[in-house]
Amino acid sequence: MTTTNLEKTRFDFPAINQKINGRPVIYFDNACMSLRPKQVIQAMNEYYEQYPACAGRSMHKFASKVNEKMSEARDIMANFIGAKKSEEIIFTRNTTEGLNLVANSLNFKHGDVVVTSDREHNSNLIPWQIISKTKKIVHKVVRSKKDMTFDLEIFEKNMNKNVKLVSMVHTSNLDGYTLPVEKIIRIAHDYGSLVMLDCAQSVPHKKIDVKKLNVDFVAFSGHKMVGPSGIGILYGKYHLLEEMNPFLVGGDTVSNTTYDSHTLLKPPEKFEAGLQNYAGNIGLGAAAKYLDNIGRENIEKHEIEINRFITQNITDIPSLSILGPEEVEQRGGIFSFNIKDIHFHDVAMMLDNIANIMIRSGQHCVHSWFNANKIEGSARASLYFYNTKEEAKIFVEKLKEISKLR
Amino acid sequence: MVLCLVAVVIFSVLGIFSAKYRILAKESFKCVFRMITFRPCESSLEQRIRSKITSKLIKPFPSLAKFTYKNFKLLSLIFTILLFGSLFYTVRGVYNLAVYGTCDPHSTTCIFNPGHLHCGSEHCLATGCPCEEKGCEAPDHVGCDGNCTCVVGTCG
Repeated sequence: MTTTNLEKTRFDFPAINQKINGRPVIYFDNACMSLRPKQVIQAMNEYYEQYPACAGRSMHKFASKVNEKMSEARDIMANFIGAKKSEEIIFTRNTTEGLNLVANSLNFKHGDVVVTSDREHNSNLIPWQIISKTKKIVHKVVRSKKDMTFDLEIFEKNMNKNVKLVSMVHTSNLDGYTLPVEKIIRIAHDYGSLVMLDCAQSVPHKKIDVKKLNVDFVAFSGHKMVGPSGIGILYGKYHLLEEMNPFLVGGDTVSNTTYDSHTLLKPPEKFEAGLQNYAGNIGLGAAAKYLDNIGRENIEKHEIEINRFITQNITDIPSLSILGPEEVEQRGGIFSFNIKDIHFHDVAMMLDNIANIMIRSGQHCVHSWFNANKIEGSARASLYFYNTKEEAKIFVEKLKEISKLR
Repeated sequence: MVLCLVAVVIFSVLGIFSAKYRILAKESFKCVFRMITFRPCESSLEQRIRSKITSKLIKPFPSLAKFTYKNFKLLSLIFTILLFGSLFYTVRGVYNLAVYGTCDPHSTTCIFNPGHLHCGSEHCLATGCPCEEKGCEAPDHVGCDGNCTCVVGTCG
């Protein structure tokens, strides 16, 4: 991305164009929540100001406009991830809801196996722990190699005909590592298993084509891709969605009911129970359009470039250790680290106090990995396309100051 | 954790004037409550205070920032002792003021000692000791010494 383009892009984000205590804001917490451009805010405001009505129910002009905008948003999202048709796109609240929907709607039987990696977000761990008790399925965890990369050999050893689903994170929010999903999907399909990917950290940062990947389910959130919070997507192959029973039922999921029966609508409607987050759906469409204009290949390249700058410039802080693979390319836009003898929460709070540098600290909802590796937590800077090298320079400078406290 | 003891007192007072401090007072109270019930404090208040103070010092006084960061527990213990020490003297002073009319009957420096304040030697010569004017007698003993300073037990 050229500097001029980048400056233009930054202008779209009101949150980074403000000053707090006379200093600019450096937002490095994009793995948790990205910022929103004016275009997304405007699209949502338009809904509230011009046609704030229901879709799929009423017959008036406002309702028709919402129908039209909802269908447009669904088409954009299908295009965004390369889905075969719009009906494969289900609007959810977030990635968590998407993963839970599949966990609760797939027809699991006693003895079925679900395989996950060892660095799953709690959203892709707890559902399987619960279902392993309620439906008596077996949950298997594939441990990473020592260099924190995915162990395909161990994975293949865990595969057999009883594995109903391989549910894995695509890009880890822990260290930015992207799992070799093409190989994982191929191996899983060889054993007749389905594959679900948690793409919360990948879809916003790199080009994903669900058709090319041949993945069965994909879940991601709007708030990590410059979209509104409270909205997400579950992609599923249409024939699989048709076979699944809905997780939530009620308004707009049925075509007809009697006192003792109901007729479910076809996907995606049968999975979208109750009144939808229309402003959110429309805003998400605007966000996808915005990202497509920038180009996710450019986004990925830009983030790696900044991460490389940070990694190269912290080499003179001997007390700093990076979590994840050594190579920057394998960590994408995430820089997860610890400074010896300085608590990660202290690092995060001091960066915020000293220079308005906003990062995250803790266990990043991957408690299981930290517990297994006996690491208390980490500080994490996560980058996006609107972050600059100048910001990274200040970040490194402040890290050096903080590291001298030990 | 020790700092929560100081925080609960200070933030409770500040909380009278601002809702922002009421939240902090509640948080520090919870921490103190857990501490006295022998459970670990779940609040990050102490950590937040440490980071805030260290951040203020890191640029102008890096060595002091390092000292504060590394010895924060000790410093907070000292401040806790100081707070409770001064609280003890304050309560004792208020008690003395209420009972004896002076916050420290043994001292000549108590600013809340009306006798002492108005009892300069010239004033004393002209008007006599205020305690004598009140007709104070032993053993009620609020009296004046030779320097016309109101003290306990030297009336007359």
